[in-house]
Amino acid sequence: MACVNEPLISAYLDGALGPGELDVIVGHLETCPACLEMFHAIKAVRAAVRTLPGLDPPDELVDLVGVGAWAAAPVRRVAAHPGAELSAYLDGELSTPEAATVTAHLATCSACRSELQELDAARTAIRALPRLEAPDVAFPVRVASADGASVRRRLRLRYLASAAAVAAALLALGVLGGGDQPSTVDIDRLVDHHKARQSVEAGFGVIPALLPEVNP
Amino acid sequence: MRRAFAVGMMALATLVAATPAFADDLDDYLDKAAAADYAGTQVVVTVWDGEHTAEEVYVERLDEMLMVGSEGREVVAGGGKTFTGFEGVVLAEWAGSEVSDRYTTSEPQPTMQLGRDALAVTVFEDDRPRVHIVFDADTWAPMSTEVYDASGNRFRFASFTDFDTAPRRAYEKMGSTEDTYEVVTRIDETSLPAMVAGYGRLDVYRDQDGVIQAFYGDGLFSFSVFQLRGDHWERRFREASAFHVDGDPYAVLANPADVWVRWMNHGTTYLLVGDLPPDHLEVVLAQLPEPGDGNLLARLWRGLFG
Repeated sequence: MACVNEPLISAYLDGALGPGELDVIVGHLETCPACLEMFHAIKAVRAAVRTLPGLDPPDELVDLVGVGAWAAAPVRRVAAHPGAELSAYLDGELSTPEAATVTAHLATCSACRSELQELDAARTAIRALPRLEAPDVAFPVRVASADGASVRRRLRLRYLASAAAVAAALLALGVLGGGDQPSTVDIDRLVDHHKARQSVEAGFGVIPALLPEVNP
Repeated sequence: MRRAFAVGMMALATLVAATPAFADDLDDYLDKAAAADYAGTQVVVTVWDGEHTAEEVYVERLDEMLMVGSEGREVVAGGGKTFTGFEGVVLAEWAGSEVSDRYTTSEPQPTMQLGRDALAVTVFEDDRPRVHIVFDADTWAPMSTEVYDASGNRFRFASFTDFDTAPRRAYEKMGSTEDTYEVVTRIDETSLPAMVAGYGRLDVYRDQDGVIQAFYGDGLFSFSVFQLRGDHWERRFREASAFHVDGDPYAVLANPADVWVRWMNHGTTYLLVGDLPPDHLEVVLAQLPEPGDGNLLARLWRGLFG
């Protein structure tokens, strides 16, 4: 095949290849020393770029350049303390360089780490609110009155009041909504347990080994 | 007569050469690979449901310990231990395992990889290619591994982009102390099945928090099923995709080298972590407790009596 080009190798390193492209690239890299050399060169440049310090221009410079220039930029500017960016960070909505800047800041700022933990805990608590389910019971209603509509309305209100009372009682017992409130599990620790056991299997390391803290 | 005998012997020799090797050979290859010392940069790519995930890692295999590192994050595993630099897990004991007889292998074929002499072996499952491994001819290090799904499509791929037979002994610098290890004990009782889709339940453990771990393997792939009482979740599952088996929904996170699956059954959270192919995963999930919260009466009983 023809030699692969630089954008394709970058896409390969990003895991962003389209269906079918992966086989072509990998097969070619295995047989073409020139492209393999280019692959290593691109990889080295990317590694070097990753090690560059984050840019945090002083406010005076921002003012001097003008707000419009920053506003027009596609990348959100992460301030000295991320503040509102932490929410987007938790949601995975930041771009890769933005997320890297926040990650680097979190590594050195205990206040922002605490803020992030509180934010995450608050979200977990909100998600943990129990779901409300109506009891699945039959409630036969016979209406023989000429004023059927008003009777049905009164019965419906009485039924709803009863159902609400039952639901409140069941919620107090923690029955509805699946019982216990959800809690966060440290899946990395469980993955470590799996790796420990897997490490005595002969296939360990031959089938691609588990990675540390994937999808951080 | 002599000519007929010679022709017969030739036919027999051809037949023997064409017959696939058996699981014992694969056991032998994997044992040799586990004993090899090597290091290098490895690219791992997984294609799951049309989505690619990839990771570039530094891998070092030394004294049957495996260190995998990526951008300052490192983990060492081997001999029933896992260590991440500040904490670790150690298993008290484990059962031995062998490669399932559902796998057969081709005869090693000479090839080249990264300019080195290599041997390519294809592992078949029911006569369909399941794994293709290229071993370094000198050390038996696995230079590249491809894993295929039921349709014969490559869904996971790992290959060294640079390779060295002299590890830097990086893991020895991680500095571990015995008191940082959590010791996980083996137990005998579990409600999980002894055999799931050809995977044998090899061990069951209970950790310090009461989490039950059942480890299943077939000598080539493996997975753990964790049982946690109550509703537990992990924020990374917000990125999970839905995976349906017999109409039951599961949350699946496909990582470059493994897959995580979460579901709930009658007040217990189940987490599956493993490297098994998608078609194996589907059959495995179908034979484990299915997703479901139980009926109102069951929830009332749990609410009242736990």
